[in-house]
Amino acid sequence: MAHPAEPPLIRIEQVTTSVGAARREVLRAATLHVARGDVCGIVGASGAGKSTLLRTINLLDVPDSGTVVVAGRDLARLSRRDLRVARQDIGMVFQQPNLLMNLNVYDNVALPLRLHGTLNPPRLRRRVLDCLDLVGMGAHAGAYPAGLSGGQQQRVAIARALASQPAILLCDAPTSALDAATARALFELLRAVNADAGVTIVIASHDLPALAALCNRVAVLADGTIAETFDPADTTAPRATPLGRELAFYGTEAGVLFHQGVLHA
Amino acid sequence: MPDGFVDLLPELGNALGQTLTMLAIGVTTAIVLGGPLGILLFLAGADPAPGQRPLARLLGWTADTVRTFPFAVLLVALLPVTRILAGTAIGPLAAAVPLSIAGVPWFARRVEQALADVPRGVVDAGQAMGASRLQVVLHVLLVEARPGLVVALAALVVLVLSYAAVAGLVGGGGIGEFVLRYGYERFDADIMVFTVALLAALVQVIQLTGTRWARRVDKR
Repeated sequence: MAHPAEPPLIRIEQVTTSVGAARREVLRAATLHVARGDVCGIVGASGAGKSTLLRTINLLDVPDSGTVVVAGRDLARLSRRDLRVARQDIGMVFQQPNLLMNLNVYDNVALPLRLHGTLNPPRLRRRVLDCLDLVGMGAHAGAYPAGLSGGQQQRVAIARALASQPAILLCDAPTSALDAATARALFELLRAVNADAGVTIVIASHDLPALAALCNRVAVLADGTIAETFDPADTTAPRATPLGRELAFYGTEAGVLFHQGVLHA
Repeated sequence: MPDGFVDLLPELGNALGQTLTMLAIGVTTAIVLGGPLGILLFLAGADPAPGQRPLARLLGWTADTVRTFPFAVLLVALLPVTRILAGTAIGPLAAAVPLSIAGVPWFARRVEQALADVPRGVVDAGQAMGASRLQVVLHVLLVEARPGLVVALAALVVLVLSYAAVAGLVGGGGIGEFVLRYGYERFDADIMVFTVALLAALVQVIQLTGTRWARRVDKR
């Protein structure tokens, strides 16, 4: 957990971001701090700006105004080369696995390492296999993505995002295309990535019960801005938003039972 | 066998060799120049930095202008250029000049399209890994576009083959000239039919090879 004196690992200050050819303003003066070691959930209705918020953290979407500071670096002020170096410290998984379909699993995970060329071949091989083992895909190194299930593909995508040993993992609705059981297993994997490897995670999702169990911070995004942030384990404090109240419910024992189907409304 | 057919076989072999020479030069030039140009067109068009927009427009305009010329017109219009580059205006080497100039922008547009067909998500993933624009092209786009590129290549070979036949009509040599001289001008229907069948078979082989190869590299 974060040391009280340590500045936040991710600091988004008053960020306004427009996207697309029409420059639609998706984020409006959004502010969010994420401490090292946190698992921070982002919730919000579709179109509220969750994806854009995540894509702003590694500057895939460039803010119109405001600052994005990651590990003490103001990303918008970096040169292209320095931004690429900074991005190696920020892994990302998307709603779709976005694997290269013409590369096998091993080569997909090796890709970020080969791009940066910092590891010699034996160490690269070791790293790739370790990452595949971590996500439980060690037996599929030679398979092509098309031969894997959606959940397996997403695991490979997580292995690829972790290959360069980033401090931060951004997850943009990684389970939204998966069935409930597969999604739960993936959340379990993310919990292990955070707990064992100490990776700070920012995850957007609609799966409120899973987020309530996984996250130690949750930010509610409404209309392009952060409406409130709180610890989902703190179920007593009043919540400002409907989503916040719903999340708080899943933080309670009754909420967990309700979600498990033991308790009915 | 029609009369004199066997006598013409060496001539046909010679013509075939000339056509293959034109094909080799035209296709190689289109790949070597058109491939990078296609990448450039894609890069400049897909997500142009503000300074690159005029360049993108100029490249695209040039490519499309060359492509609007009917090949026979291009062939004649380029004669002065051909004389400078090949030292002569007749023969397969001379014909290779307009062939190449026609093939380059055509292949460039096909390459651009093959790259544009790669899903946006893998490009995002590449950028998120910290890949440079060039690395995204080399390690992501060209890998994922492989099947489309192979199909484009097969189509290029067929295109240059048919252009080479056209070039034969104005002194370029090759099968086109063979057909004109022995089939058309001597009113020899057998020669005509045989040569056309030969060309058709050649195209079939090229297409089939292209399709097979594309299927093999496509792991989607």
